[in-house]
Amino acid sequence: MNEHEDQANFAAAAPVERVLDRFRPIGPPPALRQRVLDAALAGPHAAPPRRIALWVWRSAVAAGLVAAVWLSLAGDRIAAQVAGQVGVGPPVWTPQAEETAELLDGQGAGRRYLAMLLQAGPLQPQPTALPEIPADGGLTPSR
Amino acid sequence: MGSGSAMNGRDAAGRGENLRQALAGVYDACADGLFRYAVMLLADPAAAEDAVQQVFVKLAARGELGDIQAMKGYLRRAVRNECLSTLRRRSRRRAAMSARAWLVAASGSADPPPSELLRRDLERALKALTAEQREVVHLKVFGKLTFPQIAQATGVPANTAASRYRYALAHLRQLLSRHLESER
Repeated sequence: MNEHEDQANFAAAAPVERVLDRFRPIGPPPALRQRVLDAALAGPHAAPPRRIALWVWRSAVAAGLVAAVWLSLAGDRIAAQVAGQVGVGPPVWTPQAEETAELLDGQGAGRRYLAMLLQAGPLQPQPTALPEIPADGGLTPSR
Repeated sequence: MGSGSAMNGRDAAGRGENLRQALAGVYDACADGLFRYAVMLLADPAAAEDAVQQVFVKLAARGELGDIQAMKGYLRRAVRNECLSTLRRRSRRRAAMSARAWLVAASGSADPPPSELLRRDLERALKALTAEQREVVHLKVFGKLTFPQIAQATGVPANTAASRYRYALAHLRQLLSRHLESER
C-alpha cells in the first residue's frame, strides 16, 4: 500500500472513527461482582449453569406436548393400518359374544380377553356343546 | 485430634477469605476492561457476564494469584478464549443473542450526546462485523492500542490486524452512511 492510499484510507476512516469515539461498550453491572466472586469461590463444579431464557424452556415444553399428541395420534393410525393389512379388525360384539362376556366376568379382564379373541374373528354361531355338569358339580368320586 | 481438625477448618476458612479478597482485588482492577472487551467481542452483555464469570472461576481454581499487572495479559487472553468458545457454541446451536443495549455514550466526548437511533444503528452495524473485526475496532478505538500491540494481543501479524481494521471501518461506513452524510 503506497502513501496516497494510506492517506485516502485515513481520510475515509476518520468520520467512522469520530462516530465510534462517541460511544463505549457498557461496563459490568454492579451485581456481577458478587455473582463472579461467589461462583469463583464455589469452584468450577458449583458454578451456576448458564442462564437459559424462559422462552427456551417454554418452547421446549410446548414442542414436547405437540410431539406427544402427534405420536399418540400417529400411533393409533399406524395400529389401525397394520390391523387392516393383516386382516385383524375391531372386535364384533354379537349378542352371543356379550353373553359369553357376561359369563366370564362382565367388564373386567375376561371381557378384554374375549375382545382379543374376537379380533381374530367372530365367535362361532354354534358353540360346541358343553358336557352336562352333574348336580353335585362332579365332586363325588365315581365308583 | 479434635483441636487439629478445628485448626484445619480455621485454616481453610482463612485461605478462603484470603482468596476472596485477592479475587475481589483482581476483579476491581480488571473486570471493567475485561467486561467491555467481552461485550464487544460477543455483542451481547448477558454472554459477556457468563464469559467473565467463567474466567474468574478458572482463575480461582488455579489457587494462587500473581501480581495484578502481570495478570492483566493472562486475563485478557482468557476472556478472549472464553468469548471465542462462546461464539463457536453459538454458531453451532444458533443460539439467540440478548437484545440488551451494549453501547453507551462516551462520557468524555466533546460532541453533543449521540442520538438513540445512531446508537442502535451502530450496534447493528458492529454486530454485522465478524468477531475478529469487532475485536480490532475495540482494541484500536476504545483501547487506544497500536497495530503492533493489537497483533501481540490477538496473535496475528500487524498487517492482518490493520487490514481487519480497514475492512471493519469500510463496512461500518457503508452501514452508517445515512448518519455520516447527515453529519457532514
